[in-house]
Amino acid sequence: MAKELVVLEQRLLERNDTRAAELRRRFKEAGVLVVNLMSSPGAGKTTLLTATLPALSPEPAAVVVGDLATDNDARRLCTATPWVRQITTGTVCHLEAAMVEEAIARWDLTQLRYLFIENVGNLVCPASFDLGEAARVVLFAVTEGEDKPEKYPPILHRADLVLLTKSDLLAPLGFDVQRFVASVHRVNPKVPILPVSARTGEGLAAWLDWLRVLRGAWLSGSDERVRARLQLPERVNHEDQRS
Amino acid sequence: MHELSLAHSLVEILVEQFRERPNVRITTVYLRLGPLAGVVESALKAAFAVAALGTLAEGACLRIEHAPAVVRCRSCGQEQSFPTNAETDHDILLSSLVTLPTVCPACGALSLDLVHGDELELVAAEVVDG
Ligand SMILES: Nc1nc2c(ncn2[C@@H]2O[C@H](COP(=O)(O)OP(=O)(O)OP(=O)(O)O)[C@@H](O)[C@H]2O)c(=O)[nH]1
Ligand SMILES: [Mg+2]
Ligand SMILES: [Zn+2]
Repeated sequence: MAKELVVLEQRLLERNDTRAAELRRRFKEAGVLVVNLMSSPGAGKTTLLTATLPALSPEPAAVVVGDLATDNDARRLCTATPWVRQITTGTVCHLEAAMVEEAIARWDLTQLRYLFIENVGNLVCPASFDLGEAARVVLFAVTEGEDKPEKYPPILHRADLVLLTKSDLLAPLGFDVQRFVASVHRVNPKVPILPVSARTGEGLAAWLDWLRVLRGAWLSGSDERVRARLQLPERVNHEDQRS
Repeated sequence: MHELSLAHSLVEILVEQFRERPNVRITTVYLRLGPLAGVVESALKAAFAVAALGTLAEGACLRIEHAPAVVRCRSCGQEQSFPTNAETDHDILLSSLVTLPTVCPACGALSLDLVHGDELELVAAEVVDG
């Protein structure tokens, strides 16, 4: 029995990536900006979306939300938009392109301007799976501490925006924004960082601006995936928010 | 534990690749992993052993080659390579084994792009026929 070495040279996620590329093509054709939201559990993804959707209105926005179990998040969101789909992944700790494809199968995408994909709360696994998104947004809550970003570099490596959520707690926690910004930029030196609070509304206007500008840039750009590093208001990038 | 999903994808690819050769058994699978692939190596090996059960890859050995992370300076164009330390099986995220710089080691500029590091690739398979 002769041994033989067969050269294969293939990406493990080729199938997922092919599906994602096809989704991205469909989204672009329909004029939908798709944003993949990733964070650890409880960083505030659903809460941010319940504040974002009414603020975007009348621009129609849909949400696909992934959780290991329960449709709690979808129920929280369905007062904000008629387009909500819950994906319960069981034991799978991330979303894959095929799951998104199935979740949106019955929607007429041309009716939508935005689609938010709330990934499963997890800072490791979702990073590897392209979902056909135009942009990746990573959320860190101030309650997670300043150095969380550099402990989870893969998720930041392709991030287009970092949201520092629950910014209303910056002062009570004595959170050091400079240290946080340094920690993010150690992994991804160019990504913009925006503090937001769904509670006080801080940063919400800049977040909406970012979405609108990105949608315009993405739809007019010829690139399949525009990783536009958009200009955010000066103060949100580096200024200390503690005062 | 997305390592299980990755292991299933890997087995799927192998089954597909050798569909025309039903008598083949795989003895070794060679993978290339970058430090930013977000993988725990020991978890991937364990998941592969399970995913391969009942397939042509059952019992195959998984050999992992570590690709370095590579950054390129936008200012001076210099590329720098950052290998993963150590060669043993890792039961932590590979990313914790490499430290990336924030400034260009050549010119001090802050504008570094990561050009390699998230590889997750099947390189080759060693097979026996019969
Ligand atoms: N103080 C404060 N609390 C917030 C804010 N946003 C969210 N929270 C709280 O944080 C908790 C988690 O928020 P969720 O929106 O459910 O977080 P999530 O990221 O969707 O959580 P999973 O889907 O389970 O991963 C809730 O108790 C929210 O009320 C905020 O801006 N300020
Ligand atoms: Mg949620
Ligand atoms: Zn340089």
